[in-house]
Amino acid sequence: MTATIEDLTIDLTDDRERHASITGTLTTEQVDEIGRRLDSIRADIESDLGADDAAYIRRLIRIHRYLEISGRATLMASILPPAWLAGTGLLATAKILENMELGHNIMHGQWDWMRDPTIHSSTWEWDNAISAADWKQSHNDMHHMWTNVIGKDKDVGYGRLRVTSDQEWRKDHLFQVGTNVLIALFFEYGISMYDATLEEIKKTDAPGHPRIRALRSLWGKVKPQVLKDYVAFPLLSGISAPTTFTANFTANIIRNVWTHTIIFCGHFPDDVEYFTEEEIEGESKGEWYLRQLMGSANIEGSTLFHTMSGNLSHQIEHHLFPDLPSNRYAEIAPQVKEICVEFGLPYTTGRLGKQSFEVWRSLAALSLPDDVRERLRIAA
Amino acid sequence: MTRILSLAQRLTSPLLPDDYLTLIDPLLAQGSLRGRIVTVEAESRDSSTIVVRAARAVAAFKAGQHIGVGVDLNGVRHWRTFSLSGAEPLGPTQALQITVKATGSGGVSDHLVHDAKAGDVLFLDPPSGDFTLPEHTAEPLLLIAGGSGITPLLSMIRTLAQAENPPSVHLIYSARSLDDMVALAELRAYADTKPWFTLTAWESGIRGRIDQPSLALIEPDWQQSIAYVCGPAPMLTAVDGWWREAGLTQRLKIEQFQTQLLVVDGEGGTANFTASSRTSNAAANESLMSVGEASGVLMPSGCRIGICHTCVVPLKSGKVRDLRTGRVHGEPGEPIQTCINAAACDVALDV
Repeated sequence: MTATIEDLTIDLTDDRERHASITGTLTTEQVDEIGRRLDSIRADIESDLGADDAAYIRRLIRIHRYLEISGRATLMASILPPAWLAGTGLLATAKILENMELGHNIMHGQWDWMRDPTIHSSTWEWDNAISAADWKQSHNDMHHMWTNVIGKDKDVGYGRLRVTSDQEWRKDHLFQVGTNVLIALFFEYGISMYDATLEEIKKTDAPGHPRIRALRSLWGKVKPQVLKDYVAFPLLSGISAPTTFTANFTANIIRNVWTHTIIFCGHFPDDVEYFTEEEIEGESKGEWYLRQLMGSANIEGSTLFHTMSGNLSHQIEHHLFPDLPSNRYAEIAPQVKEICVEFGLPYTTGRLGKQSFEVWRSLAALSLPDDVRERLRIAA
Repeated sequence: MTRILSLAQRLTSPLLPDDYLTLIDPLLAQGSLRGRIVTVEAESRDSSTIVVRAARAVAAFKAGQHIGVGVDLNGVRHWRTFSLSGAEPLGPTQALQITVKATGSGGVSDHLVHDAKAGDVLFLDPPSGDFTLPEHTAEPLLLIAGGSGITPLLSMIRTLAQAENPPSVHLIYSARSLDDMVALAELRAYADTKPWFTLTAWESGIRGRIDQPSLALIEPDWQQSIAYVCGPAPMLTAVDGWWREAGLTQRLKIEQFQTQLLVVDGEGGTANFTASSRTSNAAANESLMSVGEASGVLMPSGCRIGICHTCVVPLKSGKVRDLRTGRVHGEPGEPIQTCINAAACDVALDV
């Protein structure tokens, strides 16, 4: 199909208007320049990856495994309260590391450059209720492509919560603070059920009811998890069986709540932007970068905090460069910030307490219908 | 053992017991084969013989076979294939000996020759290959080695040196100079002490490459022998040509170490590695294996020169160009060797 000059010109103007929510007052040249600068940050890191980076992830994997072994070994004596406490702490720390710094990042392909089949996005399976395959599809593909696009990015509220006033209010939002507490406690199951249901419902030509199929495929992944934490290790600990059960349960809850807290701080604090499908149509590379920047928020903290959050405290850097190894995010953050300062772009960040408070406050405020909110003069 | 492992898997799920065993000792891995270097001995200024002790015994290999060796360089795992140079073992063995020549390009060979030391851990692929001696060796053998191509032939000679009634063997060993020749003293000792063995050391730096008249002079009975040749691609092409002319192709066995790839003028395209959700630009001259590896895709690989077919993956769409012949081909579903095919247009591979 051939287009005339007139058609092309009109399209460009439309694009500029359409993308205004992303580009603001920046010119096309500026947006392209931002894209080039970010591309070159990426290229610098990619060409610099080497033995030190490989050593980092291998060391972290070793630390995780030692923490897990110590945790589980300590819990063999979990009938003694000090052992229960110490073991639960060790195991929770191990599970957090495994979920965030290891699992999430490895499955993003951040370490695929090493060509190690045991540390690769195509083979890594994690200690979680959702399978790697399902997670990669809903996260790597959908969430990172459609970041913060209402209606397409399912992470915007996970189909249940109202996190921005751009979402329409529904009656069940009234209870969403309580719902979120439950989601936090049982996060791994919340995510996996929500993802599994999505996938099964997509397969319209497969036999059987989609929800039943979803539950069956979910059980395939959940069963070995349940057997491991709630049957095998308790039994192995002899008389400590009931306390090992409660310890493992608690460790999972701690992991769930921690990951939920970090993840919700990534996109739901104040000042994070949301977009519509129309607004992003025909997005350029520079505009994609800008949407990732404006749709994400960082959390400030120590190096240990960054590691325990799987470097998702560098949510902005992660969204700009999802497949760069996480150990490099802290290094490039100042360079990203410099670009933001130069072009007058937002760089949303804050300490954990503040970011988390903003998230829960928004949830509470948005649980009310808009007209009630306005009458009570509550912002969201 | 497998029962214990499968029970252990309940406790380690979703990891494998290997993932914990390797914390104690990398050689304890059950799912993959690893080995530890025992000795590294220089053979010449750019080659060394390395003896590796595999974590588990491998079946007795045949002289002339090769193993895969994996090494982490700068954080990235690289695999290369090397011919075993030691004599055939009598039974299953853990000792694997290779003789490596440094190429100067900074890769696996260079690392093994210059940097590897006793105690280093290597990843291994068990012995395989069909460049082996005939079962009943009564007919005379003509072994032609060019440069590093001596390695599988060394294995054959060392094996025959231990046999009861070896056939008559003539080794023609061509290298730039005598200094570049590996195990020359040992081969000369065989020539002096064993009546069935003849050695012709050909210094190509002085005398030029061997041509057919020279071959006929060195070994007048070459057409009566069973011949094995291993060396650089031009030598193999030449030798293959002489045997073909004489109508004796079935009495010649060739072992390739490299393959000559064409320099292509045409267009490449984008390569979509569908199972890995990766897309990358693919130049017309770049093998799809190398394009995939550069993008972080786990590309299956073996000899990397188009012989073993380990690298075969299904082509989903598009056409590829065979870099050895220039032939453009490809149907949806066709298995493609990624090491010797490049994109001839936009392609999609199921890997």
